[in-house]
Amino acid sequence: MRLEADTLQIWPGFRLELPAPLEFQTGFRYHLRGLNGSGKSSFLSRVLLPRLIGNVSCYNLYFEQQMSLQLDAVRAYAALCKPRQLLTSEKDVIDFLLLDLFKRLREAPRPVYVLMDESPHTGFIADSLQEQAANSCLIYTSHQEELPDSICMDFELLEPGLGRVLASPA
Amino acid sequence: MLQLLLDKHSKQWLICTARYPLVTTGSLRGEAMLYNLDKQTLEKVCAEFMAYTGKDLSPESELSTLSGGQKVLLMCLLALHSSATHIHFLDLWHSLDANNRARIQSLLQQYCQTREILLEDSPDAP
Repeated sequence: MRLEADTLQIWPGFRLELPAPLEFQTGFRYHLRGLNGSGKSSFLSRVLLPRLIGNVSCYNLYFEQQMSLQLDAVRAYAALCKPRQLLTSEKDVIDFLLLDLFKRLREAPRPVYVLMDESPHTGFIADSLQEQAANSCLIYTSHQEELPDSICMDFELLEPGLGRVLASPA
Repeated sequence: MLQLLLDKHSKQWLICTARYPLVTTGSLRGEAMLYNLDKQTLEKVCAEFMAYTGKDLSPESELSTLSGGQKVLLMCLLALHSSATHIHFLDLWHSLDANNRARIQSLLQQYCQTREILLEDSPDAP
């Protein structure tokens, strides 16, 4: 997945400048870094996610930040499709989504893109992907930890309403 | 965990979990009603929020325009400016950058003189 240099209108009052192209490849991990409010979550949900949804040539998973609404949605889905499976915690929901992904991968292998926004289970998700989905691209935000071998992308607020993202030199 | 805490001491404690920092999804005014804040106190919250984040909030501001970390910061300010004498914060630090962690630590230090404040991580947090 490649994004050309551009200035993107993310919200009515917020633009994000990409001074250089950004590339996301399977087999790599990308750590989006920056202060609260610098546009990391919006970049995931408003720029990357729309490019992945509906793309049938790959699988994608999105773990949103403060995932209470997502938890309810997955619980409701599980209650309909797997009535005996009780999902009580955030970790249960993550397990459920990962197991579903790995099952689909075994049936029909495709590249995988995983977007993860401040998950308290960052390490677990990364390890699971490494073991069972080698052809995957993990793009994550975290203030708490940086996974080994991550390619970093730095978000900076240039002025109110304008952010910038740059791939960090290796 | 949350249910356990509610059963145990919801009558005495204000419980704030950073995994669900805001209860409402509309304007700040609606969220502030839950904390029973008057107009002057809410203005003070907005001014402090502006000082920390540079973001101009008013009672009519839409909460959906805030980032995850900003929501947690706002939750803390609303709770600390409320009349609650006992506040239990859960998983407070996870979504915050280093600057906001330091700011909130300093706020908690300031407010723990006049009220009891507990900080805890949920048992299912890794």
